[in-house]
This record gives sequence, structure tokens and C-alpha cells, in this order.
Amino acid sequence: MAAKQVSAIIRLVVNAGQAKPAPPVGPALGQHRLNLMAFCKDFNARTQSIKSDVPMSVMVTAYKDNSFDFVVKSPSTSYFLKKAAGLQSGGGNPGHKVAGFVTPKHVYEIAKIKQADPDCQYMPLESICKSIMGTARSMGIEVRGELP
Amino acid sequence: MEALLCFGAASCSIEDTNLGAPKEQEIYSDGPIPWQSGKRQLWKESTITALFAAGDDVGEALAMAANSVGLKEMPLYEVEELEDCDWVLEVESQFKPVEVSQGLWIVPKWSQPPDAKALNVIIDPGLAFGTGEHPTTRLCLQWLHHVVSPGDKILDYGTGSGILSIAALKMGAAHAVGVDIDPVAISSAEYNASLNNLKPDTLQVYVAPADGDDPVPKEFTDFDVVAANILLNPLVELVGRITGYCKPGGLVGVSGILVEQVPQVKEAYSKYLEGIAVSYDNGWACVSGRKKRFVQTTAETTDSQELHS
Repeated sequence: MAAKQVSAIIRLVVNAGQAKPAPPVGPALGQHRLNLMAFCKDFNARTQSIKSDVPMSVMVTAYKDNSFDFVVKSPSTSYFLKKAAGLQSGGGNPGHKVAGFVTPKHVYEIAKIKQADPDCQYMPLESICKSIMGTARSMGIEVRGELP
Repeated sequence: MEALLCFGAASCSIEDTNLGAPKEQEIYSDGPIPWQSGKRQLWKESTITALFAAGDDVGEALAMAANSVGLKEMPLYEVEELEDCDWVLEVESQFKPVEVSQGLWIVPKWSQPPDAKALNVIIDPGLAFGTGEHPTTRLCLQWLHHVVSPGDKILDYGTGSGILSIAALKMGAAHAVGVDIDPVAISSAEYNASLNNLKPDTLQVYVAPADGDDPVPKEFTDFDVVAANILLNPLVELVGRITGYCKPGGLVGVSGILVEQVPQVKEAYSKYLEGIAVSYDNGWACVSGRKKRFVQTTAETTDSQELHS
């Protein structure tokens, strides 16, 4: 594949299997004159194996000729943590007030999913766990319990 | 960008600040830009554009984001309110006439058909899917071009802009029924039918109800050709229903699937179809076959069916 000139890098979150030309996809990609329908069809097809309405992280590379490529990553760590802790949103006062808690087993399970990501494949599980615990701390979520 | 997203941005994009100016820096990429910042090449001066929902406190979000990544001072920023606009229309100007198959053109309604004597399908897609540019639409149109005979009854499951139905009707089919879960598709398909001088009632479109009930009125059965260009999951879940609409010996074609999803589709559809063929285009595939005259439900009998067919 010949290298193409990049015009922009776009980062957004879209629910698996549910890309539509409406916001957030519409303005985010339409602004850069990318083919919305093609993205929606492509993204939805590629996320068929994931439960719908799980928010996926997407990074779109837009080229000067209005074509594009994109990479889909698993949901953000904060999404998993919120689900595990049963929270709607992260804590407003991290470091001072505890908004919720998760167990080390949660952290381990999330780390395993994250390890499949293109980013994290070279990272040892322990490093990923530490990074998840850091995110938890910044959200006001405490990790409680014994490490198995 | 990640920080901005955490603090409420709906999306972020990054581009060269000097876009269009003499100082513009060109960066090239062979494929999608990798996620890791280490490997990512960026411009010397970049502008990050973040989209927020109307009413969000942009200043606060920006301050929290800058703080979280360790920036000592707030980066320069300006807030601009974007008008609600039809983004699909903005992009549509790129839509040009395209010849998807020998002598078969899909033409946007604002263009002149390049070959007036060819089979021209006029489309105004709006928010419904189907301009003829996507590989799956092309695959289905090429398949239809091969199999549609004059007088055929067509079912287009997942009709979108109605492009497949309308093309089939122009190829000589007598009647087409379109189904879609999106109500926008209904008006889009009906409008496109009118753009193509089709008699009213030659294309009838129905919304598939959310509760999963059968969307096709009982008076329509035994279609000669059934096309379904949707997605893997609905294709596999609805295999019984989709093939059920087809008359025995009739033809079924499904797409909206990636090459790696073909085995799953073949497995689901081989129970009902024989002579399964797959066509490919750019990473996408179309699976088609003929409806078996007798569909056996026991595993052993199906095997011997396949041996004999």
C-alpha cells in the first residue's frame, strides 16, 4: 500500500455495531470530508463480534484525498472500571472521596482484555494492572481485597 | 486527546496548524496511524479540534485535561459554535456517477448520466445507506445484474436508499419489496423510486418493527430473488426468515460481510441454500445460492442432500 499524505487524526468513541451518520460520528468525520456511510458500514461490520452499545475507542487516520483508515480499540479502561464498580460516572473528587470500589480480580480481568489491544501487547500483565489501578485512583475508585 | 475525551469531548482530531500555509508540513502514513505515541509521527505544530455537546463547559474541560497531562499552562484555544448541519450532505458533493457493472451506472440525482443508453439508476441517498460506492453495494448489484430475469419479484432486506431494488426493477423485475429498520430508508427509497420513473407500487417499502415481528405483509411470498445487504449478526440470526421469503429454486444473495465473516455466513446459509458461491471486493464478500427445494431439519439428511445436489 503506497504511503498517503495524512490530513488529520481523529479520535472518537462509538458504540459497537451502532455507527450512524448522526453525532458524534457525523460532525467528527464530516468535518474532514470523509465518507460517513462507508465508515459506519465498515465499523459496524468489524464490531459485530462485540456486544452492541459497548463504547469502542476509534482512531481514524484521514488522508488528503478524503480516504481514511481506522483502528478500533477495546473500550476505555474507565468504562470497564465504571461497569465493574457499578457506577454511572467517575468520582468528582478523586483522592479525597471514594466513589466506588473494585476487586483485584476485576483489575486482572480488565488487564487481560486490554492486553489484546495493539498498544499493550508488549506490556507485561503486571504493568497493565498497575496502569488500571492508576486510572481507578484518578476516578475515585478504590481497589479492595486480597490479590489472588 | 485522550485527556480531552475523558473530560467530556465527544471527539477530537489533530491536524497541522499550518494547513494550507507555506509552512505546512507533510507527513505520510502507510495505513492507519498507530496508537502508541512513540511510533506516531506528528506535525511540529498541531491544532487539536475537540467537539463538545452544546452546553458543555469547554473551559473547565480543557483546564482539567491540560492539568491531567501535566501541562503547566493552558494551551491557546478558541471556542466556536458549530451550526447543526447535515454532515452527509456536506460529504455528498463527492458522490459521482459510477459504473458498477458493465453497462450499469449509479448516478447521483444532480449529475447527468455519462452514458445515456446504459442502465442508469438515479440515486439521492440522504441519510440512508447505498450510493453504489461501497464494495458491498457493488457486489450485490453485480450479482443482481447476473441473476435478475424479466418479471421477477424481488425482496430487498435492508433496503437503505433502495438502490438494489430500483436497479433490479430497471433490469426488468416486475415488483420489489424493500424492508429496513430505519424509517429514513423508507422515505429515501420511495423518493429514489420516483427519480427513476418507476410506476408507483412497483417498489413498496416497509419498516421492520423493533419487536422483531415479520415486516413483510403476508400477501408477498415466494420471491424469485432475495437480496440482503446488512451485517453479519442480523444475517445469521434471521437466516430462516430471509431464506423463507424466497421460493424454492429461487436465488438468495447476502452481503455487508467481511471476508473473515464468510465461513460463519456459509455455515448458517448452507442449511437452506445449495450451490453457494462467494464473490469478493476489497475485503468484503457476497454469498449467494439457490434455495433448496426441500429443507431438512435433521443433520444426517442435510448431509446427504448436499451429496446429491
